[in-house]
Amino acid sequence: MMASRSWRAGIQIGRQHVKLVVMRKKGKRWNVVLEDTETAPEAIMKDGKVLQPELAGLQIRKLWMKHRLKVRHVSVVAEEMPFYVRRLHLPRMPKKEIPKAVENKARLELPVELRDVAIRFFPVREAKKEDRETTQEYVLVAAYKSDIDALVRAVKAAGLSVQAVGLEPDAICRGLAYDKPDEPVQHTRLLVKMGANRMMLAVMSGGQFDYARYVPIRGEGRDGTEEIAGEIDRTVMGWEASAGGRTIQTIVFLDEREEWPAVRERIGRSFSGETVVLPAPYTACLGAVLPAEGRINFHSDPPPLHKLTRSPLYLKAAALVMLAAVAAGLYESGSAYMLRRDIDRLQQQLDRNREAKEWADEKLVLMELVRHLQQASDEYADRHVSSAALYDFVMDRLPPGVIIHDMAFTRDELTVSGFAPDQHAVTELLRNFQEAGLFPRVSLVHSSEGDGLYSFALRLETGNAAEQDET
Amino acid sequence: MRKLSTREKLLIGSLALMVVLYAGLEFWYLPLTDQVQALKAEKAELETEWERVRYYAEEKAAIRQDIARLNTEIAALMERVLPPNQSYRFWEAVLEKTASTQVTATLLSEQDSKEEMSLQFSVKGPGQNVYQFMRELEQIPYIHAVIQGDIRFEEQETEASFTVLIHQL
Repeated sequence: MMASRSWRAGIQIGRQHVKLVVMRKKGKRWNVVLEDTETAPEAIMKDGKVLQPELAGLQIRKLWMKHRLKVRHVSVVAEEMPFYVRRLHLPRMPKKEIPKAVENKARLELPVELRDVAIRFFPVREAKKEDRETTQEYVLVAAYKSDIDALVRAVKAAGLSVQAVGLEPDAICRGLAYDKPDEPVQHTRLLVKMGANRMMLAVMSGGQFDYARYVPIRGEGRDGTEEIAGEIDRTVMGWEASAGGRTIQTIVFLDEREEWPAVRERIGRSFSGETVVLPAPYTACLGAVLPAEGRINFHSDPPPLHKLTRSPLYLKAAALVMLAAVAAGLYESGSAYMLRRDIDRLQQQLDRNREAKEWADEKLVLMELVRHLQQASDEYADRHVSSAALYDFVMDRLPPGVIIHDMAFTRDELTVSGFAPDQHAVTELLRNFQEAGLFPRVSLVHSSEGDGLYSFALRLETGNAAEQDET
Repeated sequence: MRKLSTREKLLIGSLALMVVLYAGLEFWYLPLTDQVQALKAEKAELETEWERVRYYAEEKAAIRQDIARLNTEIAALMERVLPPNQSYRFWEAVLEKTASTQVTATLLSEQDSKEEMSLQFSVKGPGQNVYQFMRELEQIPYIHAVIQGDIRFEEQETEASFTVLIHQL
């Protein structure tokens, strides 16, 4: 079965059984789609307290497996769970002061420490006309936190989460209101249900739970009938006395039981209203599932959004700031996650094509080596001075009679020395070198006469040498 | 103990909120943004690399051809490079040239440095032969450069000395 907001599930835990009701919303109405019971091999509850939450969870789990339910958020109600119920009259006061006033009243009214119980309250719809303007009447209900915790543990042991922890009488009232939508709301009924050890007596007034109590029944046979009828009489009289003129019109005996005919006959003598027997094995469970305003929910973990909508403005603002901060952080976390995923993907792609990369790297290394070798070759060619070419250059420009004695060269300059027949020949040689244009600066170092010949020395400088000199 | 008023609760709550926000900012959000920046840079780097590698993968066949061509080129170039500690090869080439041009080598010396070697040598012989030797010297295949020289012309013969630099790996 699907899990969505249009599906709801309720669990009713009894002494040795777990009941399940699943409802589905169709249009505006909730319809029952499944009812089932799982029997436990041993007692999982005693006196309304869940003794073995794990075992109860196992039975719940069985139901979920059996029907393949996907609903994970469930309402739960325990049969005969002990509780206290009181009627409170409070003066009219601002809405936000009511919880504190109820708590103070509860401290006076309840015979237990408040820290041990969970308290819920709701206004009675039919307040007395004369009191309506000055006071408001409330029904206060309290249940032990330990009992509620045990129920929650049982649900969690089944791998589910708790939507609501209900109260059996309240759930039965609401279940009956669902089953009998045509009954007038003003109709007041006393509901009688026989449990494993105790009898439940609940008053349903104005369409909602008003009062309830559990009483132990020890007698059997005729004594039992008298005991049950006596308790019913006392409850009717007690409630009518405190209800300010309202009366119980109907007594509803829940489920078919062998003692009911005798009890009805006995009650008929003292009760003027109607008595009916109603077979309703899943009523409590049904009432627990139904979404309804004012439901008694002992689960102390309401949705955070629900809490927030009822909180003051500054808390809302603080929550908004925190939410924004967390959202920013989550956005960054998400970005980091996405980036890591992209990086992993890229790494995988690179790993898959590692061979191509290695070849490319090898090609780059080889290209670098070729470049280095060619550069070295070019550099040495640039530095090289061709002695044969210099020799040719000088010899091609010698005037007749001139003899070269020495040619010394570096990369920057060439020094030519020798002998000439006269100064004209020396000058002609100088002119030949200068007009050749190969050397930017050609100069006569010396020229002197001796032994009938003129010795000379010429310096031919390259561009490099000329630049160095100018510097 | 006295109960706190709403204003006190509000102040304490605001303070706690600021502390939590500061701690979250300092120890969670800012390191996270730094991390995201680092990851972005890493991703950009990898994307660039991937673009390159994808191109390599598409051009795999061409790269292999290039590698083969480059290896051939390198082999040819390496033949012109004097291997380390093998200067004898150059000397052999010089002496071969002296023999072919009928000049006499009168001096051989060398100095080794990191990437190049400096050689000095002198040859002596008839002027035309020395000139021929100078021409032949240009033909030695190893990468080299004559950087200095001195040619003295005597009546009977010519003597030339050279300083040569040789490239080596």
